[in-house]
Amino acid sequence: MRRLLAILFVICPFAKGIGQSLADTVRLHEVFVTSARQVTERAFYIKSIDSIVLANTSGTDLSELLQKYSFLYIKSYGAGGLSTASFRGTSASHTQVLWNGFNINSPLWGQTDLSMMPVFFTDEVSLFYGSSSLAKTSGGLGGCISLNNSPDWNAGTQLSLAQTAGSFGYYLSQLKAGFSRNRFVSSTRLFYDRAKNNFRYYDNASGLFDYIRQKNADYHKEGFLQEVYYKISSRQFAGLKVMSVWADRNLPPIMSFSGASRYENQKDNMLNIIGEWKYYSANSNLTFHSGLIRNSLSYILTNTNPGGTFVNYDTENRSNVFANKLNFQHNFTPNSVLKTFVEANFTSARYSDLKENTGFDVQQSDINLQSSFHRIFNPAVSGYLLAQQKMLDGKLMPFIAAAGLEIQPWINQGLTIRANMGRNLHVPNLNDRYFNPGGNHDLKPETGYQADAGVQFVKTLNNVRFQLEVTGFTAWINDWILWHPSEYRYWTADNVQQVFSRGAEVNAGLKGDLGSVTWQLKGNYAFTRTTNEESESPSKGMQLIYIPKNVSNLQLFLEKGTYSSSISFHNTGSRYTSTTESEAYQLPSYFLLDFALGKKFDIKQHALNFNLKLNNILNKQYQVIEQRAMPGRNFLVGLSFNFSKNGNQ
Amino acid sequence: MVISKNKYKVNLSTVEGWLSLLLVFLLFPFSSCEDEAPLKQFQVNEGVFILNEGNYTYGNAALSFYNPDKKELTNRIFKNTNGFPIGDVLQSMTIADSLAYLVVNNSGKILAISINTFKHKGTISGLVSPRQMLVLSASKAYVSDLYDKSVSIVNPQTYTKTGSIPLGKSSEAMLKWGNYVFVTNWSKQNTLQRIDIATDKFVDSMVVTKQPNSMVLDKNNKIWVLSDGGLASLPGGKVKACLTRIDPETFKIEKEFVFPDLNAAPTRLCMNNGKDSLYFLNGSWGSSVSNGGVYRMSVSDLALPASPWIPESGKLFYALGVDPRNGNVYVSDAVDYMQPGWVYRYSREAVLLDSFKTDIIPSAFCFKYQKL
Repeated sequence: MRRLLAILFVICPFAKGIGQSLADTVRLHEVFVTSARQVTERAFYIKSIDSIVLANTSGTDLSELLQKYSFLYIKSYGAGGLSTASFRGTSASHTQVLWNGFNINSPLWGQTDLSMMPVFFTDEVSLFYGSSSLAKTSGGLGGCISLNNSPDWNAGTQLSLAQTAGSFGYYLSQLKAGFSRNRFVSSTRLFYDRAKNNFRYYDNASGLFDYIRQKNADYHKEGFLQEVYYKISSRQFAGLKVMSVWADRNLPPIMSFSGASRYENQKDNMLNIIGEWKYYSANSNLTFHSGLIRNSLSYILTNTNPGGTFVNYDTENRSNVFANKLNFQHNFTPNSVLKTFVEANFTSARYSDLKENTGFDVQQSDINLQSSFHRIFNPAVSGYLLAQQKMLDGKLMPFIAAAGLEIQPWINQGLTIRANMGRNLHVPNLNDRYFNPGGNHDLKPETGYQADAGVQFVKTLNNVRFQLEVTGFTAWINDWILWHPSEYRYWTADNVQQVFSRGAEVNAGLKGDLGSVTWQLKGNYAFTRTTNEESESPSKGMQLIYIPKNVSNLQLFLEKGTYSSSISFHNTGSRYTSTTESEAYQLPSYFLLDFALGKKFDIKQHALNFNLKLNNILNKQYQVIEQRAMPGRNFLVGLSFNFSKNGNQ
Repeated sequence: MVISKNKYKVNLSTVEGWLSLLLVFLLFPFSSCEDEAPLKQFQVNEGVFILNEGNYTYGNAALSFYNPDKKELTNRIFKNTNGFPIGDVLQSMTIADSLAYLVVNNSGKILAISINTFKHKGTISGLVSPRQMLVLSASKAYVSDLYDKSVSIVNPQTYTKTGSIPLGKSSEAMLKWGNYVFVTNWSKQNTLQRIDIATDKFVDSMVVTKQPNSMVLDKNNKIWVLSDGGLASLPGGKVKACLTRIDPETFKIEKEFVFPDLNAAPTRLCMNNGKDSLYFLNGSWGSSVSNGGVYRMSVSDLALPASPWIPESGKLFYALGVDPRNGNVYVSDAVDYMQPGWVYRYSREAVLLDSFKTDIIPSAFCFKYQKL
């Protein structure tokens, strides 16, 4: 047994992953820090990503983080390529992504490309499942991803530099500079990321039956995040956050392609600017956020042969959302809280087909008013009621409501029972309505009836902390919007389906010490059954395409002195690529194993970190999307330096 | 894998023991590679190939073979024989001698297979967006293209592209008559072009109704061109569809049969072996029209049929073929475009003979007979 453990300790890494050093020092003992949850969080089904995980993955993007450490299903076109997330068997457009409280999903296609969101730019990642997402926003028929940044008033002066290099021409440079003095905090983060992405994969799609290199998959991304905060008084505080990310990505063809020289490229730019003002009094607080969410995407596909270059597609998408939100919270008593917000968003979006000289240019306004009452009835029972009315372009939308209840049958015995239910609404995206060809002006909003119930048990025994949470969920979605292929390759949008999603999620964790080694084991498993229930549909009762029934992951973290390590497993079950449940249309399941190791050198109050990371060490040849090649075994090595000078601690 | 019981004994009385057992348990089932499905061998005589184009960008095209005498259907014959998929959007198929050429549109290639064993013989690669292949001799064939404004010249024996014929427009259906190949310019275009086979040069063109998608030659040596009229949401909008009869000798329009319903978008013009009856599908883009279905008319008729020969009846007709041996009609139902479609076989009297499920979007039929 000791030998086996020793082997595991050797092959398993020691580390917090590439780039971890850019986060504040994170030690395992901080992982299970618990604090009394606020009354406004009671009963909701929320999962926050541990700070140690954020530190471990700060060199990656949000899609990789969520694939490895959550129940979410990530649909990815490959390293650096378009990646979207779906909760509980719903579609990617049913996942709302909030950045510091504002929805950053593109109003055109209703999704956020998670590969554009570096974990390095985020201090807190929380997942709101099912109707609990209404605590943040509407439209999350699956759920909501909330990304937040917050000031560290005691940071002093900090400077962190990190350089990572890896397989397939991968380089990542990161810089973080922080400064706090008296009432003022400033934080600046920069990154530059590029890769040739010319990995070798086994070509079993074109008849070659040999390893070949991926073509036209190189990319580079860069971005910055600037935050400034100022304490106006002991009760007032103001801040400004500006984030921008640029990406220039070549897109590889599908594996079976053998055609003429092909060039497919996508350029993205995301700019988010948010100003905030907060006022606190003894029993109330008032906050106002105003900002601009701007997205642009240019896409081109050409083929070249001796006869010339032929443009197949050349399109541009641009959108600007001027978003405003006023929040008011009043605590009648410490156990009775009323929260209200009003949101007013003005959207301007344009789609241009430069080849066909077509497109659309639309404006949209939406106003949302939401109120929720939260109450701790007694130490064992708490709950909430929530209601929202949405107005889109001056037209009232169907009413939105939710309720939740949390019970602790035995106080301080670690057992919590939780249930939520709600009616949610997702309005069609602008492309759903206006895209040409295929957009449908007559689309109705999708209506979801969501419910979940779960039990959580936390216990410490013999210095080992154990946590288990099991949740069952269900959702019925009417008027599901589906883009389906039509004749001559044109796709069209329709309210074609009723969809029934149900399943279970299991989240478990163990943490303890073995002598001088601190260890932690965490795992997630989700079973999802999502079927088309449209009575006249030939695929009634069948699982929707690209929704895996099984998703699981497991992580082991080890730490000994200045060494730390992690081992991570991820399994995505098979997915159907057709609306019939036949093995002939199944993408095989895949299993990935990653290792990381690291060593920290303390130099006075500064630190030097060395990191090594091995991904897909079993060298699995797999596809997330049919005939889209994925990289096999690869490595990353990183070095970072943290300079720290404390200020007004 | 053999594990020595003593050497690797796990002590389950400790947390470490449980942890180790859990990791081994999780690692083991996933450490092996997936096995490829064993290849199959086929030897067939007569029947019909059914092309299933699959979904654009999904790479799930497939080929089926049906023997109507034995009522035997075999799906996925290409992948099961050769161990790799056809590719993305199987557009059309041409048989020449013992080989069949599969035109794979969004994979930019043409796969050559044996028509008897389905074994892969070669690949013509480097094409832009191939649509149809017309074999002119043992060493020369033309390939039309959706984006390339040239017709490619390929050698079917060596599987190489040998040249191209600039047309200034994209191309679709092709038909040989005399020393010329007639080419329709479909995508958002409205012309019919002529190419001189001897010189491989563009000769001239004429205007027809918008988006000529298919073309046949009748027993009177007249060319029939079916135009769908375009799509309302694309530049230029939709015009009424039209069936046009052209004299290839004079290269002039003889008669136009205009469809009365603006929404009608007829496709898949084909002909029986006697070349005296025309068949086509009348539907709409992505949905059905009130009188959708399979239409049949004689080449001597003076007007379009008022009602369908085989009504669509809630199905989504997508492909059409006429058996050259007996005049039986094959029509496919693409269902919802996302699951395996159905093929219906009708007699010459429009009596349903049988039906069977093939693969994703059955899109064309190609008949294989020794002698007719």
